[in-house]
Amino acid sequence: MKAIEIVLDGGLFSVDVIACTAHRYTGDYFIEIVSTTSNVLVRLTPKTDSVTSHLLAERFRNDALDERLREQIRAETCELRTTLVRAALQQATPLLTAAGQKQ
Amino acid sequence: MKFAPRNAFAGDTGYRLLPLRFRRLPWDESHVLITSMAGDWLIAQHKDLERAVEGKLYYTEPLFAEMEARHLIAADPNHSTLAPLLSQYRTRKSYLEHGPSLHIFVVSLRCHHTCTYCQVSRQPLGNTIFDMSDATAAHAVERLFEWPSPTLTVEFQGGEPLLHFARIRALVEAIEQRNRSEGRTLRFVIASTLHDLTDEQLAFMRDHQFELSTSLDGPEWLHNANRPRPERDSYQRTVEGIERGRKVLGEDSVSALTTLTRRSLEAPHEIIDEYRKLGFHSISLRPLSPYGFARKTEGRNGYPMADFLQFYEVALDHLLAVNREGYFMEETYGRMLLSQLLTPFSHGYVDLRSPTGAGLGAVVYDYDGRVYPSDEARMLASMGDHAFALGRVDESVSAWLDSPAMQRVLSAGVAEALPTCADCAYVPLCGADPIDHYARQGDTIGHRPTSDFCRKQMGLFDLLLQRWEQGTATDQRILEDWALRATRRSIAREAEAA
Repeated sequence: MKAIEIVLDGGLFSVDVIACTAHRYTGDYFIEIVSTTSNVLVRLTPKTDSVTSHLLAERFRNDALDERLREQIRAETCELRTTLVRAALQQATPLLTAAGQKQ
Repeated sequence: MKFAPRNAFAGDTGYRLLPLRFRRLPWDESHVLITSMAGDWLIAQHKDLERAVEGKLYYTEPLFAEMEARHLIAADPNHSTLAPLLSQYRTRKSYLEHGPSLHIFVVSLRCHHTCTYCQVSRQPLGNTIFDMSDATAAHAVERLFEWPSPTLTVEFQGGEPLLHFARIRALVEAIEQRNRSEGRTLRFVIASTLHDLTDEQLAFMRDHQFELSTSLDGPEWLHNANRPRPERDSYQRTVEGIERGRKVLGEDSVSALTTLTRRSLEAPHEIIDEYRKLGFHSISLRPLSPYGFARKTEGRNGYPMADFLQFYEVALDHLLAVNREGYFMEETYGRMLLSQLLTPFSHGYVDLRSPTGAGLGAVVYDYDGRVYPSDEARMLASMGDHAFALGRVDESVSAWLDSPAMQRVLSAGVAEALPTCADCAYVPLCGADPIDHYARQGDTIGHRPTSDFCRKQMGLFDLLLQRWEQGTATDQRILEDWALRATRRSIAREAEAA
């Protein structure tokens, strides 16, 4: 089956962002990612004839922008998330110590 | 001037982003669902989310206040606190505090049905070697009370558990005896076809406040086709069992659920109308699971998840119409998802927990003394795959929790840490199901773009959110009623609506 190639600006999209975007397409496509000095090439090959590739490049680019936004959010909040989860669950009783003991 | 001007209360007008996730709405890609780490949410324009992430929201615009109220951003730390967010998160995860409360006792694998979609690989009537022994039962009761949960739901399953009623009776008596010193809240449930239910059995159930859960696949033609007996009278016997159960135990003590085969998908209206005809106010529309005989007959009975979602959409719209007519009727899985969306509470439904409910919310004591973290794990074992056997009933609970099987479940059991789930806007409201992924994809972590579990969860969340967001005030009220009933089971309201 014919592969579809999409080139993205490596200055705008990190390889991680593109890999995350591409992962969402791995149900329907075989994926190849090639990084050069300034661009990233994504090659998507449909797994079966029944896969519809209409507006694939456009969809992929939009998804990559969303993934980039997620990366921004992650960068700003990741540490805080860990701190908050730890603080919130500090009061929970760990099951391993509770099990086997009468209340 | 009596009050200081507004900006005197605002402090620093900047803000910081709190952990959040988003998803473009499939029915309107210009808008996004934005969820907080505790599952609070709002719908906004995508361009507004971009502005918020870039730090360009003004504290005077309504979205600023709304995002702050939903714990998506935090304004000046001198004027705001994160304590409510922590409390909300803890409430959402409160099922973690007490350990498993659902304990499934498989008293026999024998059954008089030959259902092609049987998920537990039932055994013929005469094979009493598939009954739970005295020694296994005694050990299982000991283990039951090693768990710390103040509430213990004991569910008897099979096969057909009524075929080994003597074991049920002995177990209930032993559990109640032991509970005199333990003081737990007990709840007994039998999952049964309700065929051959005797007066004596019913009297015992009444005395011990049992609830009955049965299978009713829809109208007679469908039920008998799905659940064959040599006499072709499965529907009639089930309906008789329901009536007898209701008479002795009370109307609300009998519930039913539907397993959907390919032929069921053609009859969403008929299935719902049948439940209404029989006076049910609740229906469970369950897709087939890939276990037991269901896997062997997948070619005949199975269907893609997309077909189930299409069926569910038609069924949901019919249920809304039934409710608009004044007859209260809910779908139980939809109710659970709505309660996640529309209330801040935790209901502990084992399929919607993260960390997973397997072994942390439920435990299964099989007829042969083996112990599993979920019914699905036991179903896999009945197919010869003991990957998730925690141990045996004569070992301690601590040994089960330390077992390689439990470690394997836990290592893939936190949805927030799974690939793709980690960024999903629904993850604070969803769950991890490592055993289902193992059964379907051969891997506990699984591959989300091809995961049926994920397709089902996302498809149903999207559908329910869309119906709620675009629905009339009446439809919104109906869906909110369902959500509230998941945390506050209001029987009186149901009676009123009837």
